[in-house]
Amino acid sequence: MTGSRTLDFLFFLGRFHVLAVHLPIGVILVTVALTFVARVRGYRRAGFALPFLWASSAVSAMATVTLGYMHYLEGGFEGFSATAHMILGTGVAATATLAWVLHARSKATYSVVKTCVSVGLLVLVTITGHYGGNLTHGPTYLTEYAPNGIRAMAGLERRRPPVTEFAAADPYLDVVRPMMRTRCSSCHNDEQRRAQLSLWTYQAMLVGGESGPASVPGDAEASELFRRISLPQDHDDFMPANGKTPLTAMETEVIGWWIETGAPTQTTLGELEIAEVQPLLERVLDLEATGTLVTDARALDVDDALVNELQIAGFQARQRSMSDPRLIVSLAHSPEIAMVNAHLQALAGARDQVVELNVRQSRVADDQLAVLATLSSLTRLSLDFNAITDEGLTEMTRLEELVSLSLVGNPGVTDEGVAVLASLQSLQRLYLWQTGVTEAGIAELRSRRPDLIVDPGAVWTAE
Amino acid sequence: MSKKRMQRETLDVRRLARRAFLQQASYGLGGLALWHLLGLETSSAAGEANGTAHLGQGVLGAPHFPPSARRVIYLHMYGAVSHVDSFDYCQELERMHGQQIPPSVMGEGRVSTMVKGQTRFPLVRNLRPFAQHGECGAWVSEFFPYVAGIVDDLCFVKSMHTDQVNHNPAAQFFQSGFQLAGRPSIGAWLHYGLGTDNNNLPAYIVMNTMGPGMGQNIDSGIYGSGFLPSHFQGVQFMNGAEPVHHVGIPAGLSSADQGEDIEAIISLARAQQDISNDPEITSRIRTYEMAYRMQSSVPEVTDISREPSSVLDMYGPDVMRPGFARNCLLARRLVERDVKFVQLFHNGWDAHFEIELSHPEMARTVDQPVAALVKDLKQRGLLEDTLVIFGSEFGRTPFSQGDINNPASYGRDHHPYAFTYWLAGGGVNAGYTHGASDDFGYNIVQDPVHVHDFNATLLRLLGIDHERLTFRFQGRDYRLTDVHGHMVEDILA
Repeated sequence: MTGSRTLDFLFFLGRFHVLAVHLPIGVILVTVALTFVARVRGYRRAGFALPFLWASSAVSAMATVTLGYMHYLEGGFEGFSATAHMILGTGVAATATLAWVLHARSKATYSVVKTCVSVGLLVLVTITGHYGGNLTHGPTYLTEYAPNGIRAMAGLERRRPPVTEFAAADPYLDVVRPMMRTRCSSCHNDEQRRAQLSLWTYQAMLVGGESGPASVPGDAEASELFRRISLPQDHDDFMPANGKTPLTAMETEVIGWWIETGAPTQTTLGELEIAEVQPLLERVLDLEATGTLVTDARALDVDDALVNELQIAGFQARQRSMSDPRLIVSLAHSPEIAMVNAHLQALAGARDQVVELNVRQSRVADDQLAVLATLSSLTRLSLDFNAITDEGLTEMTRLEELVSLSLVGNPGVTDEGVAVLASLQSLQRLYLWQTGVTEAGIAELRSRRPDLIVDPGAVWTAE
Repeated sequence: MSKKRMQRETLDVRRLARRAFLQQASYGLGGLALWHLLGLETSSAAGEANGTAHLGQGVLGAPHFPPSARRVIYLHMYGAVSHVDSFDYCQELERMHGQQIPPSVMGEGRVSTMVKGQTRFPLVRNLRPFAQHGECGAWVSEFFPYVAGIVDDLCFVKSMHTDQVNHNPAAQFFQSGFQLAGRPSIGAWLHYGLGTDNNNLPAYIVMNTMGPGMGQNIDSGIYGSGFLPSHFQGVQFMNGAEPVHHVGIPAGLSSADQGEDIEAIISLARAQQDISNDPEITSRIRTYEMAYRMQSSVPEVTDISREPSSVLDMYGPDVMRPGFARNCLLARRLVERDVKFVQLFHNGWDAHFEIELSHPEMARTVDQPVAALVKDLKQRGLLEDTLVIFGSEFGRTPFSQGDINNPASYGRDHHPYAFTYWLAGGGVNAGYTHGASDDFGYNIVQDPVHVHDFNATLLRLLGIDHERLTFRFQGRDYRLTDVHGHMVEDILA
């Protein structure tokens, strides 16, 4: 226990390396600059600060190296960048100390040795800093937005042009890889393999890390990557860890689809079976509304403000599912509470989001249906035991996505009113128990819409 | 944490709840352990603070998949209905009535201690004739004339099997995925995962009745919350004039007075919680709050005086007095108000002896109200997203227990190897029959559905991936299906 606490405390201090490292860099830059400035006539007096500055450079560099070593103890730092950073960083501290000693020993302003040490120190700091940056931000951070010319000079692959055509996009290079690099690769790259895992390249994903292969093409369930990103966020194994920004539900779903379809790469989306995930892919690629297969691509994150408004008004509002932010809204929990303007306003605010609405036994009147008729996404509506009449039903024909409508317990609804509903092509189920609709009216409706299931209420017999 | 607070917690260590103490001790840092222990509370509290959680929301936030069922009425026929006398028609039983069950059928499988001493296992015919009904042509015994009228709305699973052979462990197994008490039951998992859609009534309500047959012990562990905080357990409504004891305001006290009382009690409870970090205090507080709200919601939901007589007639004459029929009607009224899980246990089906006397009586008390419930839900459009489940903890043997030649005394023993469930509404494949038993109703010959598979499917209908609704306890993640269960896709419409 004591041992691990001590170690924990070292880790805690070690993390300050990333902050403290800026101090010696700044001090060394100023010090080296001043050694040159102090040679210029008129600025010589500035040289009086040099002994102090060299001392500061050496001490801060040594302290930073010590912290850096503590940070290294945490593990996960492997590869060339880490080794180079460690060796060169120690070199910086040693060189700064050497410079300090030289300054303390000789009063000469001009000295070839001193100049060499100063310039050498500057170079060392620059290179060390570069490798440190690679460790923190990933090896391509610096060149990510570099023009292709510079990338070519650095020996890097050309940047992929932004995707403009859905069918031409590569499922790995254009879809999955960018997600990996934004959300995963700062800890899992070829240089810094937390838990022995790199998600930098396609090959590395297959190889995986301590817990096995990250991606098992064709089997999302067996893929450690998919398992971890799809766990509840409070789960110990959830990734990204430590509260870093997670992948969105949409991105998770796309990754699941990609693995399940065999983790395709070196092909195009146009070549693949993608029907159901097309809207998600379009959103991931930022190419919304170009697809023709599915039209109802929607945001996957529920609008909390809307839900709050609805709940304040007295509704119960629930997100339909993790991958569907639309809302199921109900007043059923409080029978006999009348629907008032506050309710209607909240509903109107969530107009595109409400997919199911239950306002049974809420004294809903005809004039309020005008507002309900603007809920364009509504697929299911229950108006049971209210005061609806034929007049209000004419509004309902505006609900072009309505699949199920219940008018139970509204005696004011008659044959004439429901006849209007026949024109609502999306409607599949209509509940008319305890309404004023007659058998003749139902027969008429059924003849006009043979596909519509009309439920007139139970006919009570035992067989 | 302030120094003073830390000192206080150290000093008052004796007052910590035992489990809370052990948890905290193992983590070393009291405060952190509390958050861990109350993971759910904090995640929702934190969520409420930053506006991402909503009133009554469960730990999942939203279901994994769009749910086809949003509420459940689970009709558990406690004691075990004889599947071969209800929905599993076996012609061979008629032909071979009185003959020994073929050894090739019985095999080496265990039988219960109740019939172990028997030297002969004579087959018993279906007690009543069967006939086909509806467009789907499902076979139903004459015991269930009303259910026969709704078969096109039902999905039969004729290949259920379980690991348990005694009532209590088998019911516990169905409810919690484990034969011993101590794990959360289905309703508790649902409340924990999905939250509640009605803050004025418990999300999980249980009603128990005793029919005119042989009763078996039902203990509240069967609908308990196990290691989940206590407020997730099933709340039992009693039969009779006062479904929830003492829910009324005592004479001479106003609602406002009582509200103040409860507020004072809760503030004391919170003070105690600051000291002891016991998660059960949170449950206690929630229970007080719920009880207060139930003072108006329970009388409203249990008052059937405004139900039209046509509806009461559907459920049959028994609905006029406390009992199973009344509870079916109440179940409809509860789900109508968005209560998530209503569990009915109807006791009295155990029929080791005198099955010819008890089964007809039991079937009569159940048939009409159950069929009425499905029809009533259907005509209100509620069957679209309300799942009704009918079944027992196991089936009954096709062979007789006791002397088959003495109709007044013989019965059927417990049978875990094949039995029948049916489901209605909530996105199940209506008019479909899944799986089959052999010609004797003894073994499964097609598409077996284990209890864990059934529960995985049940959760899937509610939009939950059974592998992704978990609770960490004693160092590992638990779930309703433990480490088992395969969703049965064919049951889904």
